[in-house]
Amino acid sequence: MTAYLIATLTVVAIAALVGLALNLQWGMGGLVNFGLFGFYMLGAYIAGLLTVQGAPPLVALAVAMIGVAALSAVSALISVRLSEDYLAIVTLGFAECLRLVISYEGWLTRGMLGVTGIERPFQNLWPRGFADIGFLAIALFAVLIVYATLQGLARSPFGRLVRATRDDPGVVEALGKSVLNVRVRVFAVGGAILGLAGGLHAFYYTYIDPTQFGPIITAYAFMAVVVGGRGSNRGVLVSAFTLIFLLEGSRFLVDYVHGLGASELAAIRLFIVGVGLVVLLIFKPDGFGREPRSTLAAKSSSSL
Amino acid sequence: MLEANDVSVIYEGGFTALAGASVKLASGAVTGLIGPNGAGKSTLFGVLAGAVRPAKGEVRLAGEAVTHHGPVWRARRGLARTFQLSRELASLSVVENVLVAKPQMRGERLMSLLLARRAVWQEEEAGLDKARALLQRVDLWKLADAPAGTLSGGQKKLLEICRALMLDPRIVLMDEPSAGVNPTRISEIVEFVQALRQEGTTFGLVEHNMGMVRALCDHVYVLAEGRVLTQGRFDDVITDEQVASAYLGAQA
Repeated sequence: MTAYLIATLTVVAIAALVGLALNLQWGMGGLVNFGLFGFYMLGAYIAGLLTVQGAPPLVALAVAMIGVAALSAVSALISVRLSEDYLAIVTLGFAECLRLVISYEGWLTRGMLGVTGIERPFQNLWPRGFADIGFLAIALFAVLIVYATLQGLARSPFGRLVRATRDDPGVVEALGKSVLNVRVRVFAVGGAILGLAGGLHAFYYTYIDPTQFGPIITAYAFMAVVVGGRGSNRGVLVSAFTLIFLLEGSRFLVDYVHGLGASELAAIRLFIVGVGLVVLLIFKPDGFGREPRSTLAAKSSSSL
Repeated sequence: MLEANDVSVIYEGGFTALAGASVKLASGAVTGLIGPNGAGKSTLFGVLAGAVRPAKGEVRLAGEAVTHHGPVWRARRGLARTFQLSRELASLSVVENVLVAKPQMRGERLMSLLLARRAVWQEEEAGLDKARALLQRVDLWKLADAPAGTLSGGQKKLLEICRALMLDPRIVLMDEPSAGVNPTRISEIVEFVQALRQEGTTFGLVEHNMGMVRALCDHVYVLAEGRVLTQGRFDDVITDEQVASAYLGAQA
């Protein structure tokens, strides 16, 4: 049971990172990134392939973050003239291309066979039998750092500008600030987080293949942000945790509900999550969390 | 200071919003644009601000041809505007709406956030003092922390003016600033504009409230059907027969 809990929490941590990245890009920035899973996959592959080539895992992770950030920035540049809905299509197409390239360019990525034997960071540091706990600690540490960074950003003048471009890019331009500049930076920072999450994915499973990455990752991330409340990092953390625990925990229903098989349950679980989301959107369309304000502004007005 | 020469704008679908209009906003003066609905006043403002690209004609800012520069470029050179239909940043608080307009914020650069926290903080405090002064002037400071989307129509207009003034602009284009604003506040806007003009700010004003136009404008252009019908001092222009028929014609 403990092992199961540790495994689930690790999955939660990685999902939370993906959710936080989307919350920056879409929640705060209004940039619909349907291609989330492609950037995540790229992060996993960069980290995985470099590690099996003998690069130290932390270096591989850093390269994954920088690589995905750079590619994200480029994809934001391509979509400069596109409105929100077209950006969704472009990013989705971009991610599918990435997935196809990774699936079929076997000389580079080992194709459908996948990459095996990926080494985790600090794996010799933990005593025998504590490898998973050790890795969980690393993953939670990553979440902590990313959360603190994003909260800092959200409360900074930069965060305010990002939210302004979401509300009305035309106004931001009339104020003499480049919207494209903001968007590229938002995509880059979000991309770095996705690269980090993907890298951790590769380290955790020590084996990656293209079937592990699909649009469902994007769907879960959007769910986490919608439930958590757009713009609220805390909300994303709570909802990612809740979502994964509901999905994972409901596996045990098989033991308690008579006549329920594993395959029916798999379908029912997704069905329940879907219904839950619809109900939530009817009764609490803004989600549970609240978006942070820029610090000084909030402080001064509270002491009116 | 800011001028449009013979500009034409044809919207998608073939509607001609401007057909060779020329206006000139003299430095340190308030220039009014009046005319019936659909005359092209707001489109002309869009052209002056860089949000609308003219099919023909030229825009000059402080003597320099700026036709091919967008709104960002022009705003950085001191051109601020408000919109006919308020475009508040709805989910930002009232004070954030004003703060976000402050130019050259180091806190909007990622590197400075990491390396120059103190400078970012000081800059933010200076911005806040200024935003407070502006908002107090129009009695919005009491709502500083409210989401801007929850303000009334008139309050949004006032907020937009504060936001534009946060840029320390040399030129301000105000598109119907009095629409939906109650009369006591309108005189507040008038005082606001007069005080800034004393300091040398140039204004462009699209307005249907003729009392306000009379009180503020040094020079008035009358637009109808995408052209400048006539121009001059308000009192001379308003008695013009063509002007009367343009307005009445639009009402009939």
